[in-house]
Amino acid sequence: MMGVTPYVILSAILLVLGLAIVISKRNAIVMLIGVEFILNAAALNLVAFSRHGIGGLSGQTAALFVIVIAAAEAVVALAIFLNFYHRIATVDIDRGDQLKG
Amino acid sequence: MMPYVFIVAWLLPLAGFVLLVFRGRRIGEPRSGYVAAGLMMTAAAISLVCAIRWAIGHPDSLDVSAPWLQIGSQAVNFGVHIDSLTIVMFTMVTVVASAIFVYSIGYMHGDPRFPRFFTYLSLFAFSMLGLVLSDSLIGLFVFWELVGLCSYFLIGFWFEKPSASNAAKKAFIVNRVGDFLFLIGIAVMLGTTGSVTLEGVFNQVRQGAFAGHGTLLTFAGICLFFGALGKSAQFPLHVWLPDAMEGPTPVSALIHAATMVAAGVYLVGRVFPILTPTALLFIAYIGAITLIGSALIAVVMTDIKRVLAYSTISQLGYMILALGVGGWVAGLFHLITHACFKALLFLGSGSVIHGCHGEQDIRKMGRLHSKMPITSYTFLAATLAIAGVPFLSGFYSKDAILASVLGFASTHRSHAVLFILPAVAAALTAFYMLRLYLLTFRTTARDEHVYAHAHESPKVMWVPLAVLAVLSIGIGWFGRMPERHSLGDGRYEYQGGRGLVGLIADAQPRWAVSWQREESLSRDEGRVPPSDLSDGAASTGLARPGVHGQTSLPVPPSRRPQAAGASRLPPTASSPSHEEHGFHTQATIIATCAMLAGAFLAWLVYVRGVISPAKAAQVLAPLHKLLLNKFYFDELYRVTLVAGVLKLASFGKWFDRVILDGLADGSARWVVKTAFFSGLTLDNRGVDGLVNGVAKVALTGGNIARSGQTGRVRNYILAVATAGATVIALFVWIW
Repeated sequence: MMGVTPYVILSAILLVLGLAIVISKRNAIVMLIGVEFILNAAALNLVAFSRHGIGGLSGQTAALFVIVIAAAEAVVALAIFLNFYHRIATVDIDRGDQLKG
Repeated sequence: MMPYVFIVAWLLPLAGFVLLVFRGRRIGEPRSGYVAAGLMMTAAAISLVCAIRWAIGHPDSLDVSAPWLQIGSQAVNFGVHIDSLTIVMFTMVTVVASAIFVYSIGYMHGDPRFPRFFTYLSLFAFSMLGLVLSDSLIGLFVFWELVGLCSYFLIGFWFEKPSASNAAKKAFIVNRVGDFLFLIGIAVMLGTTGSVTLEGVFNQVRQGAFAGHGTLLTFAGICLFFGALGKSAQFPLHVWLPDAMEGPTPVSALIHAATMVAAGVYLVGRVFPILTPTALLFIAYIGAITLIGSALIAVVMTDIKRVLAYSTISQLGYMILALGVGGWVAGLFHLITHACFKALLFLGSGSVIHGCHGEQDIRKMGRLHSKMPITSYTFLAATLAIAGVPFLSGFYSKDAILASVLGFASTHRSHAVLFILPAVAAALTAFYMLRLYLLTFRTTARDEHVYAHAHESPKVMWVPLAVLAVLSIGIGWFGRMPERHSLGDGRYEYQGGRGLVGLIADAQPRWAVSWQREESLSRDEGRVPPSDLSDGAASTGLARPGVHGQTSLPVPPSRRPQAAGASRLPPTASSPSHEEHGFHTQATIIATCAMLAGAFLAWLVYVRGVISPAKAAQVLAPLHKLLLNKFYFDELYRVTLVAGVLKLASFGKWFDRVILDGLADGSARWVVKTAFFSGLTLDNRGVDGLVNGVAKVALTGGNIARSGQTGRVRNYILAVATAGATVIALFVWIW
């Protein structure tokens, strides 16, 4: 019986990948993809622990929430990016540094 | 009652002064003179009436005093002391001043500062009368300074002339020397006797306040005398009086001939009781030196007023000499007669100057008699009076002085020079006065221009001349002597004789230090019971220098030579009456001979032309030059005192510049340095550095902190991720 470990490892890989994308990529859309990676890593964890460990269905329920929130988040993010683009005429996230201290 | 009448008479000139000082300009030219002269004549009338009443009934003396000052525990009263000397002086001052005030109305006519002239004259009259009335040394000193101040104002009345303002300053400063010592004398008296009233000082001295300190008393006496020496222009402080002639002539007559300069003699007369024999001898020698020196200078002077100025100094020398040898009455009698004829001489010279349109050089005058006969006759009267022509006023008083001196010199053979000098000076007086008169009014007119324009003065000027001429001729006749009645047993009593001399003699001190045994002063037992007085006066030689002089006044015609002044003196065994008589007769003969010799010489030189003055000057060239330069006193003072003072001043300047300013500058520099240090170093670097440092730290910290705030989302995420990873790692490793 394959334990929870491979899921967790996969999830960790996804998380690190997502983080790496978010940190290294300047394109807002690609960053959004990275964020999806991270969310999905979390969702994967939730489902995996729900299947093999404690918590019963609550983990899967949470995963569903994650998906929904990911969709909502994508909407909000895209709206921001559209605004961003509208204002600065690019989606290069590094150009949005007017709020720097 | 009488003191208050005198105080009213005294305050009248003050009223005039106050009125003129505030309303003078408004009152205007002739009227301000009328106001001042009117008030003065009222005062003169009051004092004349009082003097006559005094002479008939004879009160002893009257004193009124009111609290004035409180100096520490010492109360100083402002007091009025009236005795017969006060009366005589007061009357003399008011009468002479009245004549001069009236005269000034004419003389000062047209002067732009006419009202101011009378303002000063009124203030002067008030001060002079106050001086005469004062009963204390402090009061004397106050009025002493006031008359000096008025003298300064009036010498410098035409202050546009540099010579006048310089003369005023010179007079004031030279007088300061005398006044300074006068003040020291007052201080010694106050310190030793605790009293400043003359009466109190005398009482204290009499009770032995100076017992065992005879030298201090001598010193104090000489200090007091120095006040007189400055005011009366005696050697060596005589230099100011000739220059003071720069003032208007009525001022010369009133202040520098008749009254103020006589104040010194009056002062010596007042403090006479406390003068020791040594001090008196000093005074006598000063008088003798002065009278001969200035008489010699008067011979060569060519300025009409300067001749009179030196003559005044010489006559004051006579008075001082008389007081110095104890001829108290003689000296003060001469003061009164001299005031009359010298005021007349000055007013006459003023009339001449006025008539000659400002010409003062007698070499340019001559034959003025035909142009101004009244001035000439009055001037002649005064000339004869001062020369000592018999039966004129100067004759009596000068002979009295010579008799005093002769009496003194005959008992003190080593001081015979004290008699020789005034006798010679008597001849010189006759010579220089006749020279002045002849050159001015007789002989030939040497300057046609001056002669052609000369004119007699207006009535307002010659009437005072006439009044003073009457006084100059006749005032000696009022000197009726008291009669002496023998009471047996060698004692005498004096009766009657309330004339001028009698009045003066009444005021004579009844007690004086110099009449005591000398040893009683130096011994610790200075107390002399009153009963001892008569013995004390008789015992020693120097101890009673006055006896002969006081008892040998010359008498007016038809009067027997009698002892005038001695009425209050204890009769003494060693001065029998025949001796007094002898001195008096001898003195009269000698003085008259001297006068005749001088007059004869003047006649030879200036009338007959036997001796040419120019030739005489050539033969006696060194002497002539010495006299023309007034014995080089001005030069001597310039070289020694003035140069010394200037040196001292420049040293003071150096000291001030270098030392004092150096100290001040140094401390200022130090303060500046400290300020720079605290400002630049402490404040800028220290305090500001601290504040700036804090700011800089905050700034640097902020900048450092700011560098993380890139505004780039990716950096933030990296930071958050790193932090999160670190936290997790810590959790993992610690657990």
